[in-house]
Amino acid sequence: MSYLPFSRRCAVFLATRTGLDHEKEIILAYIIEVLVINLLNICLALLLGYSLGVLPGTVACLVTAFFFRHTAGGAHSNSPWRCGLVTMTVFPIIALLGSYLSYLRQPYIDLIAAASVLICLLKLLQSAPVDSPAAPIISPLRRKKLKIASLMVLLAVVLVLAFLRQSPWPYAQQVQLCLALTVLWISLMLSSYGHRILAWIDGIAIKKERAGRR
Amino acid sequence: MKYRIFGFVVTLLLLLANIASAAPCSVSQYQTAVPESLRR
Repeated sequence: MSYLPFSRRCAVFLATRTGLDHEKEIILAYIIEVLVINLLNICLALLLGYSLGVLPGTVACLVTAFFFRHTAGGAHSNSPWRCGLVTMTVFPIIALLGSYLSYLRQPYIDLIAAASVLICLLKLLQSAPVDSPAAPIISPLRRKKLKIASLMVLLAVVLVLAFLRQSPWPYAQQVQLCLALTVLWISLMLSSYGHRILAWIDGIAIKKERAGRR
Repeated sequence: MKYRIFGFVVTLLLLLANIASAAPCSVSQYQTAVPESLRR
């Protein structure tokens, strides 16, 4: 297992202070890395969303993505820093797109939402949960439970979309579109195209690193 | 006292590790390698 130097250092420090064995030290390094990377990504995405004036939409995108990624999984980048760049830019951009499209009339918004939900439903039934070599799903029972959980998340999104449709909240249409577009992004990340996009992003960085070494 | 605080922090982190390892991935596009003992 390879973890980033800061998480290993923190884990060694805590394990030494409390007298833990090597196995627990690895678990500590894992969770410290998960917490730091995710908190950093979320904070940077919120900061970018705030500076673009689309904070409610960015929050809606992040919450939706959080529940879907925890149940359905999806494509991954090989580097935490490249992943950070993707996470911190994608959700504010989706929110920005949602805010531009919110000027559309309600029937068009309903059409986008319905199409997104339908595409996501098909992708969830077809491929969820999508695991990675770094976190494989071993148990078939767990796989089944995650699939059901991901479908429940989609059902919750549909209910929120229906609620927002009737809501007098000024950001209702914007958030509705943000949810729909995030659901589309999640569907893309479940597909082979999503894997190819992230592999392509990984490839760009590798080429640049090589060019820099020369 | 310090030992108790570190003990509490470590216990909390180990609990969070168990919870986090139950999900196929987190909100970001990077998956930290799950330790062998937490894979299921």
